[in-house]
Amino acid sequence: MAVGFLSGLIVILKYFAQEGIISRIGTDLIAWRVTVAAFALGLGAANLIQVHARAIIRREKNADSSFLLLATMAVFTVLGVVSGPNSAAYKWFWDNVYQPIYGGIASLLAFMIVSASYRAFKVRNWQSAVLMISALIVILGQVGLVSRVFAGLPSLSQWVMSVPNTAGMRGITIGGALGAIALSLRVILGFERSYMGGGQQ
Amino acid sequence: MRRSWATAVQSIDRRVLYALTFVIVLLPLVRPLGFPLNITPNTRRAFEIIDALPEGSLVFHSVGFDPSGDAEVWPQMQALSRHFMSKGLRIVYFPTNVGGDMYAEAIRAQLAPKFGYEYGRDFAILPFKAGGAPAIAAMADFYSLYTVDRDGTPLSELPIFDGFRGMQDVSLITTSSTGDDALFLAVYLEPKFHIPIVVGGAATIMPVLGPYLASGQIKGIISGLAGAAEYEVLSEMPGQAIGAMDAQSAGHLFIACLVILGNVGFFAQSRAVRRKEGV
Repeated sequence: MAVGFLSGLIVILKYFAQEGIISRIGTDLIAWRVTVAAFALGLGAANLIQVHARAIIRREKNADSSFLLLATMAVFTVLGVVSGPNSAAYKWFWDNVYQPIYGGIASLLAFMIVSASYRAFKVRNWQSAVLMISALIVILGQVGLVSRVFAGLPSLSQWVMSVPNTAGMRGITIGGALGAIALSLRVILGFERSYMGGGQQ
Repeated sequence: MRRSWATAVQSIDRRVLYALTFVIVLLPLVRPLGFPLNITPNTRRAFEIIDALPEGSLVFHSVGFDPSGDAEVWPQMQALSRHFMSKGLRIVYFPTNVGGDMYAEAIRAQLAPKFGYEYGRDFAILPFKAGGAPAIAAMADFYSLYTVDRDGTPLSELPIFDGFRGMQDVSLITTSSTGDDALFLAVYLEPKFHIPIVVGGAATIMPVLGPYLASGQIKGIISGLAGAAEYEVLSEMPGQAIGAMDAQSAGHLFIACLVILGNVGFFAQSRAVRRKEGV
């Protein structure tokens, strides 16, 4: 808790002190966060191995998928560590395995979006009418052909994005920032201790 | 019992929708339709800021996407890089996504030779740093975060970093990202160094950036594939975005038609129900 308090305090003070020891320690603390984040990646990988190895050992449902995942992970890791990410083998795997599979999965979203918009965008009340009309304006504002017929549509689309959307996002951003300040203060002052794994408070 | 047309147009089988989507998106890719393009003020502003930079200016470009955002963001990154290189700007690519360095590598392999760009002198690729916001915040003290490039070469051995003190020497930051790079750059680096930021990224992240564009912390936005196509038109260097825009426009039109069709059916059905109930 004391570490959390001191770290938080130093980083806040660093904002006001551009030079001196506080600034230097604050800069170091921020750089350490990158190292901690890198460790978090390792921790995630370890957790993934643990969960899927258990599934394989216990021959759970979809254990074959778990095996495939771990095997791919091992191949990529060995290729990356042994031959380096610039090697022909690593690039071959990236270009011919990872990229097409990941891109393919992401492109399935287009089909889901078509089906979901068709089913969900129904004008049941005035709020949903506003939502649907705004969505149509923004979608069609991107289509040059439609804009040739309705000349004012791109400007209207731009207006939707830069006025009502910006106003709404500004409110959300300020609300989120106030929440983050409140939570940070609770952590610094020791009221919030759940991040240490010790329960609610 | 025979279904009414109002019910039928509201319950088209999803397999039919998927098949139609496939055909409608595929056809313009095979046979381009030549839909006209609108140039939005945001893309024009982004282009003008970059175009006004003098030769030799140093640009930092974040690469924050992976194959899931490839179709939208990769054409943007290529369009921006082509423009940078045609103007003789010096470029430092910094991956903020674990897959980002592979796209910077693709620029090194495919685009740089066409413009006679030499690695280390005219452009460089920094290694990926995990963490998102903390990594971008740490860039404020540049050499505490980066000491070598992606290949492990010390930055002091790369001519592009000769005399480079830190982010205060950067003329412009641009992004090609599906994540929150632009947000973090606007929050952590812009207030301290006042570096102009031009954002390129997936269209889905653009609504979040509206307040930063209005406040001037972000100078221009290139939004999605449409933004990439507009940029290609403005820079007069056509690439893959212009061709792909026909497919995207056709997809957008299809979605709009389906939404309208579904609502026509919904209204007709509601009206029939009200009439039946004598309301």
